[in-house]
Amino acid sequence: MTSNKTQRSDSTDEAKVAEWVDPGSGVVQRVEFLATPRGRVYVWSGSPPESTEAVLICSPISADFTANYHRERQLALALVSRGISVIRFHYLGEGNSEGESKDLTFSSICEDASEVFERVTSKLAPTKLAVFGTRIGVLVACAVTRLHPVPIVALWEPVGSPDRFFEEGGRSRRLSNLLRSAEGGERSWREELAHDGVLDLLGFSVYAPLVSSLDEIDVASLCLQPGGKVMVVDFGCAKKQVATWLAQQDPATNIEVLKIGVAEPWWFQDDHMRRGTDKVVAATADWLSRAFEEIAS
Amino acid sequence: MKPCFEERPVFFPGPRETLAGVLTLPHKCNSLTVLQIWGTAPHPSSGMNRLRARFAHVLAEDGFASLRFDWPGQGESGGSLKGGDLSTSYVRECVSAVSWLREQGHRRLLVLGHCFGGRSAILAAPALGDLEGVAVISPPTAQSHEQAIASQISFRTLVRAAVEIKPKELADREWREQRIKVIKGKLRSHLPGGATTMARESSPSVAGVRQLLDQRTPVLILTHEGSDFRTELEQFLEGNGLSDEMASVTPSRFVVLDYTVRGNGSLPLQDELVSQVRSWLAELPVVMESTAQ
Repeated sequence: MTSNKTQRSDSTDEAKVAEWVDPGSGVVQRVEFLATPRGRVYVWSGSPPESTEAVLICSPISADFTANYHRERQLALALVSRGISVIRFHYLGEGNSEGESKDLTFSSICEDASEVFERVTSKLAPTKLAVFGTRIGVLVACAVTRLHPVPIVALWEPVGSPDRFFEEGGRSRRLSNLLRSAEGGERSWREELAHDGVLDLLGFSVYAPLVSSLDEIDVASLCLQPGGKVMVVDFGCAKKQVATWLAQQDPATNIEVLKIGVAEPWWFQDDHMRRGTDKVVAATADWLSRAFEEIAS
Repeated sequence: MKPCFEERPVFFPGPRETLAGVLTLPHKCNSLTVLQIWGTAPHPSSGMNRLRARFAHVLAEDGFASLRFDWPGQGESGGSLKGGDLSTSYVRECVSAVSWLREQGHRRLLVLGHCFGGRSAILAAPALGDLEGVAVISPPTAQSHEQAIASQISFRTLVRAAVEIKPKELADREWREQRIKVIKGKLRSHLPGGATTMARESSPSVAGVRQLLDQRTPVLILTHEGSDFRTELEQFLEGNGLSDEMASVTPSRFVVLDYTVRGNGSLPLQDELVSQVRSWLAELPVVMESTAQ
């Protein structure tokens, strides 16, 4: 991208859109607060000229949302540079989108993803589509593919047991308290959540509706349907979860698994956050690019 | 309940690349705008656990407009991320954000800085024109992150970390260079003249704070017990006579909150930061005047 870009900020109440066009590549980057029935969703899209392919990125949630944000940005830019349009967004109650964190549930994030999918894909009108997800975002991506036929799916570190997602956070917090010789308290995180109504997991607020919505997920109903192309990247940090997710899939589903070592501690966020980004981003962008070509042939 | 503000995504020209941000506009405006300048962690512009968004919304309730923007390579801005190397600051990006805000009609500005962003705000202060107030949360004042961290950790911790080094880590050049800088910083602070060197290296920050106070701009410096920069900040203010100078510009103050967590990794600490900044802003003469009107 060159530094000399043309830009336009359209700040009318209806639009709430800002965009700039790279005069060198012609790529249009657009950020908007997309109006949905439940609130405005913060959406970023990158569209190369004459692009016919698009990828919807379904982010993870809570600490993972922050930890993975830069990687998703880099993946989006890598795909855009390969001529593929990309859509990223923040769930309602997360990031810059409207809504309260306390209202976040698994159903609500799936609805947001589906809403963005329908609205943005109708606008970009791609002929070929893919969805991408990370961690809990994998389950969101799976939910999208069950509503809309999508031939290409790329996934990072799937969560196989969503009901155990916050257990990891609870364990990380106990470890952090031990390292700092801080008082960890006698209560389990579930007791704390039930008592206080909110859980403090290393500075991330977690509310009961989200936890119970993950407890109630019927994972079998979110399995990928056989057919199409599927890639899973195993970072090597949550091997059991990835193995559990893979075991739940229909044996007829053809899944390509790439193992790429990424030092992502997920709940502990420090200077490790960007390690391994280039490798995993390049491998995923290459795979998606190839998958689009193969679908065409 | 409908929010008392509206938010707009914006792009504006930075010194090298286009920068992105979110502008929050309250329905009832007090004619003051807060520029949020944050750290270099690769988070979205909403911040960790939406802290920056929360600041924007709470400030809007009190009538302040605000802009939170991404550094180059971060969030939705152009360019590539350089990380939190304190030897390079983002003064020019701060100037770009201020210029853009003024072009949009936001003439009366305050700055809220955090960590690396707080440091950049202090360094940029002489180039930002008149400011109505500057609040910074745990800003490093030294020239390098490693040096600042080295001043906080004990020799025992260093030795323990050395024993636990894994061969895989040693092969990582970036990791190796960071650790060497920390060790050098630690050794240098204990050599004769080490303290003088540290003080000299923080002189741009001293000049920034001093210029603000000379212009009678109120300054709030907030930190907490667990911050990497608490001790360094205390030495910075005491060693350079800034505590006395701050006392002469009301309501300037230095506040150390009683939380031992690192970073902003606790919800009560995040609540306290918002509350402290909010009440400090309410004490500013310019805010009290606008409220009285």
